[in-house]
Amino acid sequence: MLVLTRKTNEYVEIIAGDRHIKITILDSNRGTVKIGFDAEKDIKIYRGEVYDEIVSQNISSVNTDIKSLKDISRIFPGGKKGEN
Amino acid sequence: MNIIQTKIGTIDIEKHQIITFESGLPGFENLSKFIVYTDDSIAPILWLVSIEDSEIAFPVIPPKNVRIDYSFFIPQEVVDYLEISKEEDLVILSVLTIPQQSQEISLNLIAPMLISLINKKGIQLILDNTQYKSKHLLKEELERSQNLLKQSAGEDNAGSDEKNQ
Repeated sequence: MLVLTRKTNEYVEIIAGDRHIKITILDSNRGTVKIGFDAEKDIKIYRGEVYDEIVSQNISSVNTDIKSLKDISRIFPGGKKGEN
Repeated sequence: MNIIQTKIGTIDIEKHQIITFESGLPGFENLSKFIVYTDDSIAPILWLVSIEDSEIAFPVIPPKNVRIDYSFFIPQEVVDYLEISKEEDLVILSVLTIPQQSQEISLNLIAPMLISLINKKGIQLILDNTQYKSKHLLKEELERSQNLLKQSAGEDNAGSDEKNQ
């Protein structure tokens, strides 16, 4: 892991191909750091624990026992349809 | 038509059915090609099936089947990416997690799968500033939705449902 020390209002620049991501340390106070991100809108930025939670839900979803689903589908009120 | 080996068996797929998740799915970043597979015997549950890895398929469900008032905001860049202009252009699916204890079946409402019927692209959107969580117990949500339906059916009991926030 690359480790850099930055002061408040200093930033790092990440360049991936033709894309630039600027990460600025906005404030730091008693172990809490406020970080600003400048990146194109399609670059997704998440809190690590939020992303990890989705990862672990997706992984446990994939481990579903296929045979159990028939029984489970009966839990739903009869044949209601709806796309969203 | 192509016959493909998947987690749920051998299935015939046609090109137009393939959904591309360009950046993969959290935990499965290397997989981008999926299809939505309908099996009447498990309706309203559907499968989101990888056509690249025969071990991978997600049981999913249109979330309004479980939480009737589910709603969230889709950022403009996602709308643009999916090239959607109206609700009917979009299929929304939530991932089900089904542990051994069926009492604990849960639904991920913080990260819905959005699939565009226009350009066949998909993303798993992670919602920001939301009351929704990655684990909503199916049983509780169905009860809650039924209560809401009863209330809107006219019996205006003053009591409200304090079990769910």
